[in-house]
Amino acid sequence: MKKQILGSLLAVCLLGCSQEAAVDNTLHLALETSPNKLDPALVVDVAEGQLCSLIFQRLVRFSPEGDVVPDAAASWEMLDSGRRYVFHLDPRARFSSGRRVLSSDVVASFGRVLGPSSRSSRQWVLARIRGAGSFTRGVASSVSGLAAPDDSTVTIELEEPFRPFLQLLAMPAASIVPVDLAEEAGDGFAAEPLGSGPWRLAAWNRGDYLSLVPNPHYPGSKPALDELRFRIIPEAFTRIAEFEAGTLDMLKVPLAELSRFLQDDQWKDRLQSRPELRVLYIGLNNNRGPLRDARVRRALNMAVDVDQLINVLYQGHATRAAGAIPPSLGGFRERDAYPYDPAQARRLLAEAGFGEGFAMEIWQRDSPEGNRLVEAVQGYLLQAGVTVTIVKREWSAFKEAVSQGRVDAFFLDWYADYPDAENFLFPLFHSQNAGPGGNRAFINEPRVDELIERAQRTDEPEAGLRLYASADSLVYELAPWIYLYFPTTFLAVSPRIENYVFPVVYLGEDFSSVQKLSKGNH
Amino acid sequence: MLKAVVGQKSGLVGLVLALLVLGAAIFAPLIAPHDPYAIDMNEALHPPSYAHPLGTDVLGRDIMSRLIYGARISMQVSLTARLISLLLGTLLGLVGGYYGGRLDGLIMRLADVTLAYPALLLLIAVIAAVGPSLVSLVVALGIVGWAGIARIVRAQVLSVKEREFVMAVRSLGGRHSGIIFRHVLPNCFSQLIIVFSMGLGMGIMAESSMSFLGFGAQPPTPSWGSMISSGLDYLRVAPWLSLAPGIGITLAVLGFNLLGDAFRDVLDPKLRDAGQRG
Amino acid sequence: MLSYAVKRILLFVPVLIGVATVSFFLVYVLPGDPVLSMVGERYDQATIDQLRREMHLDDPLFVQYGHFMVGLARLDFGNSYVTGRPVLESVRERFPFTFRLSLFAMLISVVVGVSVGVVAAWKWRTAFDYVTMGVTIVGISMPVFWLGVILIYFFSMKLGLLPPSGYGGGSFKYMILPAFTLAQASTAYVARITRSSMLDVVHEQYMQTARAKGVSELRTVFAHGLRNALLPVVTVVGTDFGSYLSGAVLTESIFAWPGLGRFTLDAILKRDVPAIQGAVFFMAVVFMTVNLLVDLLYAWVDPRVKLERKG
Repeated sequence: MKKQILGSLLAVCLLGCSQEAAVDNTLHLALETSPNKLDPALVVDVAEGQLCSLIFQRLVRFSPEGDVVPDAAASWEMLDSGRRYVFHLDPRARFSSGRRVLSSDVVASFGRVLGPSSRSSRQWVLARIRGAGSFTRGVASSVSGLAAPDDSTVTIELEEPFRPFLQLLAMPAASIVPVDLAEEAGDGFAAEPLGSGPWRLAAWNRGDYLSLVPNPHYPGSKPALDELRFRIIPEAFTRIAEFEAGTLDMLKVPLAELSRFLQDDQWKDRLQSRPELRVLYIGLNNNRGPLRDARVRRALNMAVDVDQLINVLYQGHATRAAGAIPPSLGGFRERDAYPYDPAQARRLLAEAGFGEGFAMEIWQRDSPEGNRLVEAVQGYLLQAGVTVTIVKREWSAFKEAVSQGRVDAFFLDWYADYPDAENFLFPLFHSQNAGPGGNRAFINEPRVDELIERAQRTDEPEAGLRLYASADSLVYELAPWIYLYFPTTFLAVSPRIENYVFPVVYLGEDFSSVQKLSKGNH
Repeated sequence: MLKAVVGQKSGLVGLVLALLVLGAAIFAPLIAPHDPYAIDMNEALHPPSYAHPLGTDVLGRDIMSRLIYGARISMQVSLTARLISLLLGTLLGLVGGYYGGRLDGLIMRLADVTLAYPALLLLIAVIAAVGPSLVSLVVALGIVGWAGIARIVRAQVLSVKEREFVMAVRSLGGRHSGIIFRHVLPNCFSQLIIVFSMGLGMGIMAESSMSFLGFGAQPPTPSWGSMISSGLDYLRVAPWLSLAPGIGITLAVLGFNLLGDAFRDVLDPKLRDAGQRG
Repeated sequence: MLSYAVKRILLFVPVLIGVATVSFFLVYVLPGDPVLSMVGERYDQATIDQLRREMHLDDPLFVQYGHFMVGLARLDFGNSYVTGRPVLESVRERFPFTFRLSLFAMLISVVVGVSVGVVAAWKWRTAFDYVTMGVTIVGISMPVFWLGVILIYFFSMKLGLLPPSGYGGGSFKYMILPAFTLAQASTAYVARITRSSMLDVVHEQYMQTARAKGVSELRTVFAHGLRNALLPVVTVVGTDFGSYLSGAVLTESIFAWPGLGRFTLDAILKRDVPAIQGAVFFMAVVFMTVNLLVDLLYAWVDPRVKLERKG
């Protein structure tokens, strides 16, 4: 009797311990932070945006390669050299409740973001539509440039042509929401979102995991997976342990582990890499103290050995930035980076009247990557006579101080919302966006503004790219930042996962063709 | 008294460990093999070797030296914070216990409120409010710690107050401050010594926990807690980054705990095993 | 006894109000505009102003304080700035996870702690006694967060025996590492207390008789002694249950455990004022309640204490 009990106990344990994942057809993924709201109008960070793009359709979306492809709109026409667009909705598009997606849903969804009582901070995504401003201010009762002539047609008219407009429409803020349901749910919609995307939210245990299952009404090919499970795991070293234990199917390889993964026989062939559309920099407040002088800012660029930083912190897997536009985007131009030359840096500082050096603060948010980087920069600048105090603040306190221009310098990165050089120039360097709009270095240079504006308006792609490149060169010369680098992301993919392609933009993945092999096949 | 403390084996171990940490803190510049702040990216992440007995960190700094300087940070924070608690707590406890009445009631309710919070939580909230730095950590730790001491001192005062010799001085018209400082306070000394030495270990623990969470020492200051957290990413590739400072904390706290135990056994044998918490 | 209990419970009320007030003002002075954590990288002042109005952030301080206190009285902690959900709902969702972990940790500390303590007292001044007492004092001195890291390193990364983090849908093996981490200091402490109070009882009263009468008698003596010795253990375990809330902040963030500790830390990092106020207040209330219960229990079991512990 005793033996039997022992035996069955043992069996239970063996069953329990032999990876419950053996038969599941679930893709296990990790999120670094816990999402807060899954209402596309309120989404602000990368994880929320990615989840929303799986649950909701936009008129158009990004392919894994970063191209704009049909989503809820089966086709569209661009008229009046980019001033007007006509979208034809896919008649098969259905919300996961089963209701058809109508053109009135699109108009109402955009109105929901733009409206006077909207709490969205993403109004800028749609603000280029004619009449959007007066609708937001409450002057007009509707957006004049937005219309739904019949159930499956949407027309959009812009104030003036804007080259990357279709890309804006692929962003989460432009998602199509069943407005009747959303209004009924009120604030609760952000906790129980429902859309017409390939996936629908099945469970959300806060602080633990989110589960998405296929939307049964989605017209495209049915996903091969039964479930996407996003687990919230804040610490990098636990994500690694989970991945190696087989409980995660994909892992964004932390920098610290990169060389180990690259040398590991088990993983080196299962790594996918992609240069990110993201730039890291130390912003210098161009309105404050010694930093007003461009010579000082150039000197700081020369005082930091960025190549060495890349070698040590990124094991060489990042591209040094000599401009803000990443190499994979049109408008990128090869140029000579500021050389690492502490002696020259000191000379420049002396020339500007700071031969004795000076003291400044660098603000940052607490993150392992940022901590290492800023501490290293602190060390380099000290050698050039600049004493740096590091101030760590949480996001809102950081953003408040930095946006109001109350700090000397700050470490920040910029993720592309859409893959176009415009997204790296207009928000970051145009004087109109000084402060909260993204230009936190407070660079104010009419020549830069003009180049960016001309590029936005032109309907000639090549000319636009040349203008972008010139603007980027001009800004680099003015050195509003200490330019650091464009990182490369490495993704380790479990051998059981097939057909996964690492997308160019984070919104470009819908997991519809990803397959998971059962254990036996491997 | 010291003799009695050292007479116990664990007391001796505690004393040795505590002196080691204190020595490292005081003589850090003399004994540290390298500059704890000197960044050398060419030397990054070296495993322990002859030149770097505990290896180097991701910016090429010598861990051994940072560990030694870390003792200094720990001791500074812990000692100052504990002194603040001791002053505040003793003062309020004396006043409350001696004068009694409403003032006493108010002070004790304040103590109740302070002790109503899980300590670490209160610390984090205070630091979040005033901004993370070592100075704010010291002040916060000092303030959070007053209540326990005030309670102990007050209880002591209450019992001393009723003793014959104090009553006698009082009836002879002795001044309050004179009575408090000459007769009441000295009777609290042995209690205070115990609380203080045990509190040092707690202070070290609190400092490292807060620095681990990013609410304490700011870079490039070498603090044991922040060394552990910055080493976490490299746990697999360079475990010594997190292991060494953890051992440092454990030994330091152990030293002061043992020392506190020994003091208590010698000064107040009744109190065995009370009050010492990590 | 009854009057003591009534007095303690009455004292609970002003302290509760004090705790609520401190929770409010502590968080009120947090730097950083909470609205800014709600908007993304690009935003405009008009949106900010509107949000501030909606959230009553521009009301005078005492009005906000009044709102907060009235809300508390109605058990309404307000809505989170970040998720927009009622804070009480989140607290209610998250607390059971912390409770479950704490309960298991308490179980470990009682079972392991008491047995080690008893055996150590039984084997007084033997190698077992010395070794366990050495180990326990080191255990008390070891930082919780570091132990957590070490356990993950060995049991998950090196040996692959246990899952490194997460709740795992309630699966038992996910709870082992975090619970042991949380229980570490308490277990060591309970072991020491048990040992020393066992020794007190046993040596003071029964040791000589027992020696005289032989080992089998000694066994009954131990059984008898254990009953008396458990009194201080109960107090320690009770008080520790409250202190698990502190430990939970660290343990839960290392092990990605979806409890209230991590919720609070997240809320603090995101400047989610209502969530911090609510969670901090709730934790303080739990902490106070547990301490009160322990005190009452203690006073009930041992009437002498109420004289010493009053005030």
